[in-house]
Amino acid sequence: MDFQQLIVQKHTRWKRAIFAMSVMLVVFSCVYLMVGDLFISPFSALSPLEEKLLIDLRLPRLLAAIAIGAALAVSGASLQVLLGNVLAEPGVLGISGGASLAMVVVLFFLPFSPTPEVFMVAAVLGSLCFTVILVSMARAMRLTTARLLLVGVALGILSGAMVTWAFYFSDDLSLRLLMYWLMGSLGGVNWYQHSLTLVMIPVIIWLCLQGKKLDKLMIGETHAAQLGVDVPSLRWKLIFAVSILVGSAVALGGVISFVGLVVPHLLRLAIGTDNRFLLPLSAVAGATLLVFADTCARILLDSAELPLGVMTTSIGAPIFIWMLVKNHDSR
Amino acid sequence: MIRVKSIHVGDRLLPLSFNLKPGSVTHVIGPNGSGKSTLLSSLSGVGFDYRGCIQFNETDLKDISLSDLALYRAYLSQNAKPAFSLEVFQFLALSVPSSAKGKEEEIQQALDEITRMLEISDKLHRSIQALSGGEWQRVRLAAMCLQIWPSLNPYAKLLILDEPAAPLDIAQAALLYKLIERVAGLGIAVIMANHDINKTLRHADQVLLLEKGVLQSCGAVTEVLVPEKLEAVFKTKVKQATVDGESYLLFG
Repeated sequence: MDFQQLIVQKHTRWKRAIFAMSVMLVVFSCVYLMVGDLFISPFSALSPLEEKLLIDLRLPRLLAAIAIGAALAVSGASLQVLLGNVLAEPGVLGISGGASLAMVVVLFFLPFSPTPEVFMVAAVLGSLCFTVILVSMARAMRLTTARLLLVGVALGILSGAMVTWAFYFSDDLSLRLLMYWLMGSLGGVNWYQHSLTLVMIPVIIWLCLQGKKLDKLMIGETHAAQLGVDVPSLRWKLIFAVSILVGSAVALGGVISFVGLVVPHLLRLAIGTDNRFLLPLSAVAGATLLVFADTCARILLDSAELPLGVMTTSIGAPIFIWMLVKNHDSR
Repeated sequence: MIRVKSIHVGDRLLPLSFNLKPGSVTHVIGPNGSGKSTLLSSLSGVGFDYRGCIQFNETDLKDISLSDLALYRAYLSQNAKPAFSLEVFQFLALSVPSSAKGKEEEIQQALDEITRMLEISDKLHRSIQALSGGEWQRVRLAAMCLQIWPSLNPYAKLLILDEPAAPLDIAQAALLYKLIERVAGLGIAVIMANHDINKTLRHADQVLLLEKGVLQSCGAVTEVLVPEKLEAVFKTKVKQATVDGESYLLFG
């Protein structure tokens, strides 16, 4: 068949998928704002209580879900290209663990009570540190898929152990904070914390625009370099961007695993691997998934809520095992 | 004209010089570990940190930006399949040079000719994960050709191939040499590492004989591919025989 025609056909499919997913995101977001302990009907006038509920609680929480979902899915998709491994994911590889570890350190060893900005900087530094360790090990030791995952999991266990130590020695208040991060929850997000979102948005957009270079990098580093991509500089920019996103996501909602793995993977299976479209679509689909998961987390139990991170892990872990067993796409 | 002046890379490649004329085919031969890949990747500008001077028409390689370099030359390295599944046409689309923007008809023509010569025109919609080693190699070759095809890219000068025939069977290797001839006919200099010395005998205009990073001999086929020189480098018995008027090298 005609070459140009094949390409145009593929692009049309991607654009349709992005459109459909955006519509879904809007629908799910509306549902999200309506349901809860108090059902808010969009067709009647708002009472002062409903207005306060909507603006001070549900809206910031919805925006946090969208931002975190988009950030995690996009960073998962970029990490997979960066490491040449379809199973790479910030949660699985312990990068989120690095962020939570850094936050624990800040919580316990800082003489004053930390502000969201301090938490965010700490979380970004923690994830940056773990990402650099992983990437340099993957490159220097030429780690295979399996060993890279093992190293990542080990880093995750290490950070988990440190956090558990902190658990053991903490008083009641910091214990609650720790639980909040470990399980991942959006329960306490307020407008003030959305200063983090303002940092995440430009980074997400920048990553979505790297599709063309990522497409070349996906084939292999030498091939990308011979096609004119400055691989070392791109690699460091990607590491930095992913660390900012994961760090901010952890600072905002705790450790939420598997979004970055499941979303890009299922999209690759369904449509293909064209990073120019895969990244924006991952962002929208990740946001949709997290809005959906948080809706469930809020309404599944009467007058209580499930931790969001536990929700996504329960959905994601079986899919991860299925991918490992099937060894899909991977050498 | 591409001039290589006393380039060297650590102790893997000791100073050597040669020229590549437009439209000529140069073969680099030598035992494993003799520095063939090091030489080719230095020449591509993406590999080792070489010392010395490589000039593309009077411009030093180190002064050319990576994106311009992608227009000047294509470099087929020895590499494995990526972990991701994408379709062949998507892979080929990545190699369409930036100078071919809007030239859709030319792209289609070039692609038709290249894929026909390599016998992969029916594989454009296949996933690269489903290709055999020989098919994948031919798809990669097609991408390299697309990158420096003169009707798409008027700046193209050089095609570098690192053991392009390694995963190919005899019939596919014949397609490869036909394609190289065609590319050279378009005025592109081709340099390739090769193990099949009888193919070098048949198809090369210039031969570089490497041994442990040292250029032992350089010149036309008749000067370099003589049994004494090959015996000294490959440490094996070499005989020249003539069958049906064609000369062959036999190794013992």
